[in-house]
Amino acid sequence: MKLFRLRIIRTLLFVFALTMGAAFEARGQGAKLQLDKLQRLADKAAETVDVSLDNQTLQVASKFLKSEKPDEAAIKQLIAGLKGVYVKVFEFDRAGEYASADVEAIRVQLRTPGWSRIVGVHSKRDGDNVEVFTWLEGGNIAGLAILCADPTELVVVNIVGAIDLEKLSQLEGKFGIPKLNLEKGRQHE
Amino acid sequence: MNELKRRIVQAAVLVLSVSLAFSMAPASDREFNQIAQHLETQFRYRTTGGPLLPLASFLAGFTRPAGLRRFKLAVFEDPVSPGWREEGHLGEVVRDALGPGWHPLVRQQSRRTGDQTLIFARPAGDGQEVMIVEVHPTDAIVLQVSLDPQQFARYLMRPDEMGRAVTKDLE
Repeated sequence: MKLFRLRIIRTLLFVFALTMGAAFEARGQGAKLQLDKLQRLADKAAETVDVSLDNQTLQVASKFLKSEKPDEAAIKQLIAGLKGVYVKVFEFDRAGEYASADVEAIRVQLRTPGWSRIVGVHSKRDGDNVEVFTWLEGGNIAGLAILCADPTELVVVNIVGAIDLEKLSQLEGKFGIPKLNLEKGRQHE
Repeated sequence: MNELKRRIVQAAVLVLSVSLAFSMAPASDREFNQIAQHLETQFRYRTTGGPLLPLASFLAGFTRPAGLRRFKLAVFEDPVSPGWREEGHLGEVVRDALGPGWHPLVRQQSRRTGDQTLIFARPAGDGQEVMIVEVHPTDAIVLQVSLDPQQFARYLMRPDEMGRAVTKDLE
């Protein structure tokens, strides 16, 4: 009986250590999400878009967009504090071609300390599910994640760096970020 | 006998020179050629270029749209097998061909149309070098282009349309 208890305790300790390890790993990576596991959905998706803009690339954009041109100036200002923009879009021909388990790898990271869900919209009629998460550092927003899970489409947007939520909608349609009607969503809040 | 020796030495020098010339080809040429050679196996290309490279155009220095410093372009047409579709293999080929300095910007794939676009970039001087590989069911292009930073920044605002925008600017 003692041996049995000892084994249970050992197993529990092992599971605890693994969970803590995963949590620390997620915490250590900051606002940048590990999106690689979604890549297997590309085999099932009818349309796939994968955009990766790292810090260096964004700095070039921020430095060389022209302040004199209004459209470029607004974006230049908005991306000045960004360190990365990562977008994955998967479009499927039929509903049910991806499972919630496929998105779980992302949700696990968004459940770690540091991430807070600020918007969650779920439509039973359409099956649409939009969630916006922020990553806080020193009380300031230092990252953002948008998860849109429709029955036939999955969109994950991960923005790393200081971002002004008021101007977030300006990024829609830019840097590979699809139009998500965030401004409309804000008006409905 | 002396004549034979002389000819052997000449032949050896020639072989050595040719080998050196190939080994000293810039890394960027090798990367471009490697990708082009992969597509060459899938298409009966039409080209006005020489037999060594499947280059339909090698126009560097001739045409230079604003912001585009130099470029290499290979166009492939007429797939060897009808209904040919490039699947995930292309991504591996391109990644293997490109050196460590390149980072992926865009990957688009449509199973509906069979189109696939891969875009990689790396810093080059004060600008950026971009490798664009576009594959469609009936044709394909490999385009390596050096961009000034302003032009790169402009294209970057719509990275998913970069391939189309650059090729359109080259027309």
